[in-house]
Amino acid sequence: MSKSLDPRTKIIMFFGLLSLVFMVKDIYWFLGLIIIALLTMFFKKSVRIFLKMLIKFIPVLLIAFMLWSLFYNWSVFRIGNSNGFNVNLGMFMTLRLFTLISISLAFILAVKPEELIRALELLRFPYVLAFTLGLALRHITTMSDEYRAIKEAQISRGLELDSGFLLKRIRNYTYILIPLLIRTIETAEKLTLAMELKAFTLRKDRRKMEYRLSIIDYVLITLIVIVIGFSIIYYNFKGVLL
Amino acid sequence: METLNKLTVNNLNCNYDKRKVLNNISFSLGKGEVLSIIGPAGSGKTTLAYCLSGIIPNRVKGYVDGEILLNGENVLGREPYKLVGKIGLIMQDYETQIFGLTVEEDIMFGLENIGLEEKEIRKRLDWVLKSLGLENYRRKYTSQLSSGLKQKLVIASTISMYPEIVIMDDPLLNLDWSGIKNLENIIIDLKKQGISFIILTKHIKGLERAIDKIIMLNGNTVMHEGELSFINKKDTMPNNYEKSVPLIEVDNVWFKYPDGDLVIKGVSLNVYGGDVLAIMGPNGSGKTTLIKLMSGLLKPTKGHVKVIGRSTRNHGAAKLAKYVTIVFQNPEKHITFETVWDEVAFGCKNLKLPLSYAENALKCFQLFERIYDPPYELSMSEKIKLNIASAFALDPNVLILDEPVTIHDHNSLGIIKTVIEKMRSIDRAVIIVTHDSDLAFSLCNRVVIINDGVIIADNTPQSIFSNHEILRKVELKQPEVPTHEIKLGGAHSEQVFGSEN
Repeated sequence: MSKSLDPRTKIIMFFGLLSLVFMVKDIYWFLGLIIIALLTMFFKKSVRIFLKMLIKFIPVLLIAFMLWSLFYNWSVFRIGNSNGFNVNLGMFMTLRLFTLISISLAFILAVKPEELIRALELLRFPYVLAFTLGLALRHITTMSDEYRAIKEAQISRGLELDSGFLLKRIRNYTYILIPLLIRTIETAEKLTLAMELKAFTLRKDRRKMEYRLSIIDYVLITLIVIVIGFSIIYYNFKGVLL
Repeated sequence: METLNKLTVNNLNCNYDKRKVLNNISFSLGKGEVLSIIGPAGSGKTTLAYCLSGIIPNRVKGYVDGEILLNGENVLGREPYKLVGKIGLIMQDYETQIFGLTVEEDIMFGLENIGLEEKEIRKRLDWVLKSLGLENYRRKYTSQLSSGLKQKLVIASTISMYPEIVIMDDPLLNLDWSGIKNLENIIIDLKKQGISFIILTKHIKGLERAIDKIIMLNGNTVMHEGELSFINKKDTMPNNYEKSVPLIEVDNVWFKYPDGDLVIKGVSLNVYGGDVLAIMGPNGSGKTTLIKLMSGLLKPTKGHVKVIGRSTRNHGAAKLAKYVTIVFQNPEKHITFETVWDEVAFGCKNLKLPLSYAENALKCFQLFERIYDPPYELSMSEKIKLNIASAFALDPNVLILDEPVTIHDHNSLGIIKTVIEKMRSIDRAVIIVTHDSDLAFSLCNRVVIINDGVIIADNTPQSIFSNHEILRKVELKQPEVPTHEIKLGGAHSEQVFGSEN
């Protein structure tokens, strides 16, 4: 894959797949969606990190399974005509949650923050919003580098972060947060200066970027629309048409 | 030849933060000339840059008087956006000046802001991309660029506004030797096209061919033109250390970051008491990773690091700080407390060391009279002292200085020398990570060269710096020739030095 997909396609695909997760009710659909997530990761060559992050969600899935199975109709203690246990529902909801997590993870791993901003710009989001969000996203990485550097410097001065009681630990983290806060304010000041040096104004008549969708983009968008349409018909008019 | 000066600065004074930062500064600059203003940390370089670009007094409050004549017109105190297209400023944290998602867009960002026509934008874009060799990167996302390319990009987007003068604030910070040489070539290319440069820097090593004029900015007082003597003072340490029990043992260590980059590939290194060790190598060769491994901040993927017999695997970095302490480069970065005393005593309190250590350290660096002052009110050289003192207060066996780029002047060099002498006298070790061959040559008795995660040389500075093969391989520069042999590129150099003779 030499040419990457258009960011718009990626964001549309993501929301399309996400809405499918909430609409469909068959195991084959879910399997299909999980396979799509895996395939995306395969093309992006990040299957390993994908699986690694997925494993971290196992406790969440287990809790979800227990909640949906045991608290069916809000009660485990319900004795009478209907019981409070529903393992089927538990399994179904867990599978749905798992699919949801897989799709979202695949999206996060496959789409760079820059692409998200680009998609917002191209989808005619207000420029102020897209620009601000872009700046914020870009500075998250700077801040996390900053955080790491300060943390290392403080550890070098003997600051213990992984021992002691909870309260003490929280207090110790303030010794990282204070310098970080000061740095953030400084960076913000620099940023405003830098913007002025580029004569920044929030002009409305910015040039619109001309990015064309390729054939693959059109094919994928059409495909997702058809699939969603089909699933709506399939689940709503099951008895009538099919 | 154009005889008229583009920029003339007459008696510029600036008071800022209740201090007199600039005192009667005067200089002039012609078309296509490169002026380098050299001064130590805190000597007012950034203040000068802000005055010239109109940030002081408009955005940062400060009192200025004097004259800044640009083509005969006084521009002192003019709003910064009115100077766009005349004076371009590249800040020390140039990364904050990148706004575009892609290289192309970042360059267009400023051009669109000043409301140029589409055709003109295209023209300028193609010109800057070509003159800086960024054509292959035009669609690349800016966040994915290396720091060298980011600097190039900021230069590109600055000159795309067609400024007559480009001011660069400390462009050499964190550049390795090949990076400096690249920058030199860029500047030489651009000055041929008539752009003048003002380069504010702590040293000009590596840029000599590009620079026409030099001005020294000395502390907050007087300037001397054309005096270079203190930069390259040679004072070699005796290297009669004895090998005894190593303080740090690095035994066949491999290290891989979680994202999969193998950075250290089988390094073995022992550090002994009395060592003043320089770790050198190009950017990205693993120098910083190596010192983090030595201090226990990172744990080796394979192999062992032992600090005074304790494996870093079993001991937290905070516990080991008693034995190995790193002084990180930016002295302002981790100021945490309201007073100098709290700042220095922080480490002692953490490690339950007697507070007399902190007192000692403060006395050592002549900061004891200022213990109740807020750290942010200290001068730059005092902040550097504070930074080192708060590490020194832990009484470490090994003190690691990470790229002490701030020490290119008399004062701070003196501080480092004091530290080294103190540490050596009690048979401790000092490790300095640096790009600067002169520093390594004059201060250290042992140099380790690391390239691509492997140690390729470990010897005395004398033998390493005479080995041209190694120097070429890692693109290190030879220690400086005596100062009077420095050749300056332009025609005006004679005139400047003429004033000294």
